[in-house]
Amino acid sequence: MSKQPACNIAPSFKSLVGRAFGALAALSPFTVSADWKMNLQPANSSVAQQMFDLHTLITVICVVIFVGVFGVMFYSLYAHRKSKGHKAAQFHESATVEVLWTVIPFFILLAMAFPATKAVLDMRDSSAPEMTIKVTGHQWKWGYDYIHDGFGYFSNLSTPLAQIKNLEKKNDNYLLEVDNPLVVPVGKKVRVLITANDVLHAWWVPALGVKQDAIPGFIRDAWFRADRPGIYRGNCAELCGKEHGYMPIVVEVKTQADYDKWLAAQKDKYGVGKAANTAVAIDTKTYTREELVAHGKTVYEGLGGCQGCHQPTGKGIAGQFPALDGSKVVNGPKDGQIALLLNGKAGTSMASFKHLSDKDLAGVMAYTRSSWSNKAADFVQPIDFAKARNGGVLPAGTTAAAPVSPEAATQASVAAGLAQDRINMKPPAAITRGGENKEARRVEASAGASAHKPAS
Amino acid sequence: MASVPHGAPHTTPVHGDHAHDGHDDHHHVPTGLMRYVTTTNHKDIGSMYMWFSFVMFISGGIMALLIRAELFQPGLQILEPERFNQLTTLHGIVMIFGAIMPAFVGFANWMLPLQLGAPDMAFARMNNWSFWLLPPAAILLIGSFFVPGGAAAGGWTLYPPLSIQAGMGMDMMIFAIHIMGASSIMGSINIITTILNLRTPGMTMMRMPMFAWTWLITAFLLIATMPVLAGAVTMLLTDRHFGTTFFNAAGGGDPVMFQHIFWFFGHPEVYIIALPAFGVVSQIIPAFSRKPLFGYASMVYATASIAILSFIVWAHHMYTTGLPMAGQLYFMYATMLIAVPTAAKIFNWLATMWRGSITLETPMLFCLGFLFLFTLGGFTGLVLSLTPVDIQLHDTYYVVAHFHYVMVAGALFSAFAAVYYWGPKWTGWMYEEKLGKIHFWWSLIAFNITFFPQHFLGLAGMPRRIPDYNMQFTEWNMVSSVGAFAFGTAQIFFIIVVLRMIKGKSGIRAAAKPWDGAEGLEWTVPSPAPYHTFETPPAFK
Repeated sequence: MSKQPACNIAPSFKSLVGRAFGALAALSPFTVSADWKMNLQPANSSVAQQMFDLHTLITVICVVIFVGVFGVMFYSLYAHRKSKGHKAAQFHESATVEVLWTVIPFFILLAMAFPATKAVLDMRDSSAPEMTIKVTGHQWKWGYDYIHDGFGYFSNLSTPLAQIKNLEKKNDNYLLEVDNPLVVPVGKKVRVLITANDVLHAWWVPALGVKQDAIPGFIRDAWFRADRPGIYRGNCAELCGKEHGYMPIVVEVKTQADYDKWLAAQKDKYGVGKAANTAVAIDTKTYTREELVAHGKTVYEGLGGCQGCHQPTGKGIAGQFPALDGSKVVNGPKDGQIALLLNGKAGTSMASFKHLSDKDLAGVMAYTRSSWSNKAADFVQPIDFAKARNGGVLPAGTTAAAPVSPEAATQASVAAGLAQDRINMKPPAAITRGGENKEARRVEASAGASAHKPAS
Repeated sequence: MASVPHGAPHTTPVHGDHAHDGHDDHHHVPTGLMRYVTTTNHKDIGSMYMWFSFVMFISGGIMALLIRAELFQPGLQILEPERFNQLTTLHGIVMIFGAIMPAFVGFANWMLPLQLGAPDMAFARMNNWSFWLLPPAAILLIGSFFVPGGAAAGGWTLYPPLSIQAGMGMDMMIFAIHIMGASSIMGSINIITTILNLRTPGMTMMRMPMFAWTWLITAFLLIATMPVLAGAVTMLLTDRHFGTTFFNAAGGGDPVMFQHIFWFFGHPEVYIIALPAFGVVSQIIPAFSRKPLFGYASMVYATASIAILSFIVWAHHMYTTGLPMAGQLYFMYATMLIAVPTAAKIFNWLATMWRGSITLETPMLFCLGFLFLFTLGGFTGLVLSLTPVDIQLHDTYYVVAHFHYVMVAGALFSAFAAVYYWGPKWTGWMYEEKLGKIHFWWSLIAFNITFFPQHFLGLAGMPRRIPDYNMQFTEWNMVSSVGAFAFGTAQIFFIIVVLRMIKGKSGIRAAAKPWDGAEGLEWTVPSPAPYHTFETPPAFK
């Protein structure tokens, strides 16, 4: 990986010329150079290894045929030139050679199809997984649900905007780093159920040999078994709008012992483990407007924050993302804005943000209602969001700092998954049974929250 | 490519006795703008198609250079991501529908009547209408950059639901596609009718020039697939504005259905672009090898096989959508099968050259460039046909490299070959050989510098359609961007070469048959070809 600051054109271009010679020496698809990468990433799963080997095999076959065929052409160009006094022969057909050069390629193709078929059979056999994770593509972040463990979280790009805008030196994992990676144990057959919330995305981790489109309203599956612990990086591979290039995938493969520790910590964090009852509480504190505005600014401008679409200026982008500055919703009744933040707006890029905390949402409201030319008089407290989430009243029995059920906590964290009110994800066993893959099967429409309950 | 000069050539009778009544009226040609607005002359219309194509080629090229400028290094420098996506989307649509397809329709208009011994295209006035539909479509496409929300940004493939979110630029794109589709269908009907009905007596189907054969098959492909695309984008339109849910699961639709419909058009579209290019190459290689085309009949059959196979391989663009395993296997096998007739064509061209008497003028050089690079693109296509490999390479720069080898080296290089080969017939002047050769080598080298490294980028894991990337991809992106600018300037050089040919800067008037090895009726009329040719059917040996 290049260590150069990429915003510095002159030196990198200078070294480019220098290194071009090195690259020429290494001009073979099988040489992996640190900077001038030319081949597939090293495989970290049996499927990725088969893909790697198949690619190597077919590339070699193609290069050999190419050299052979064009060797003939260049010989002909050399030997059969008019300037060398070559007189044209006048033959113009031969059934024998035509049959030969139809039949021989056919058999070469057969030879290629054999290992390819074997790899497809293996790649698609997602039966008997040892764990299942649901992956949801959002504009523009990934949601991971550990559906057997009852928790889930979002994974956002963590590269600072300043690096993207060339104001800071870019780090090595520029655009390939996230706040919360997907964590899996080494050596376990992991099945991923992939869907999307809004538009098409594709979940791609080259080293694991998985690329599967995420399709809103449908669930597809794929699987991998990581051979070695480590951190593996990939990108969204299906154009999904403005920030398509900014929703990377990071998979952290841990040893079983480390994974177990991580899992226990996550269960505590999301209130589904033994320590659940102390984990999540409703924020009933009354904040001043200034406090909320200051907090809201950090959310608005933070990772996956509002400014990605609505812009730091609040002006939006004409025709794409509405302006908040002067917006009727932002300057209108507070219930309208609460509903929009919690539910999003169907058919637009405005997603539901109910996975954010009550305080984050109240902060965003206070900030947008107090910024630019907006001077809306009223603002709301976090507890107003807690009520709005529960049909206008606080959940029964709630007191300050009261515990929240695991379901509610889980629900909040996976909130935006799928077109939720329509999709009920069946337990995994019902979607793929044994070796008979029917992964494109349609899921039934019904209430959605049950999808996120622990399946066991 | 030139507007045909009138005057001197018209006074020279072309064939037989031209002193019949009404002859003078026949030679009354409107001048100025109205000549081109009202023309029904296949040569005028052919020239307009080519000029239109070149303007769109330069527009799409500027978009490509903006893209490559942004990708020169990591970070966002000159384009916001949304604008970047608009440019990649419009670059694709403009180049395919605006530049490459009209270029070959232009060649067909100019050359088919000349090759078949016909006085004009079968439906001369519809021909005018086919062309004049294109500028409004182009205005819709280019103009969409300036409407609120900007141009369509969902990729040229227009996949929903993203294309349903987009602003009015998407509607303009949809209408532009409708208009261009109507134009293509009319053009195809015209070409088919001309080829089937207006051949000179004695020219049986199996004695037609290969260019006519490839265009005949291409025209059928167009008629079969353009309505499919029109249907797909109309469904998008009603999903966007009239509450239908063809592509929305929430209403019982399916986003992936769009991809099936789109690629049922989209894959034959690849051959709509490639087959006329094959036709051009099949004319030029025998001419400069001074030897008849090897295996004429098998070339015809191979072309037809490719066209038929192109209808049953579409889902190889969709391996990652989660096709059932049987679907992945079927589409893999069917796709691999296309290699057989394609290989047969390559071998036929090589056999044509074998033991010929070869000279390397610019048209021949471009054909050799075509052969070499198109075959390379064919091999990467074979690599991509293997489902497991495609899983890694789908939507990466490897695919970008692959289809530019097929489209640019395949279609564009053979279009250049056609301009140099038939240009003397159009303009009456030879081009300057030295400049043509410079254009070839400049384009060839710059093209490879631009696109060969993109194979490496894709293999290493760089997705396509991203404005910014990790530093590990910097070096090859820099090389590619440098190559792209070199390739762009080569095409400015090309237009200079063409303009100098039109102005006769070489000082060499083109003979009726400037290439000693060339065959065909088009070389029996003077250069430049008179405004009206073959008013009576020529003799065909």
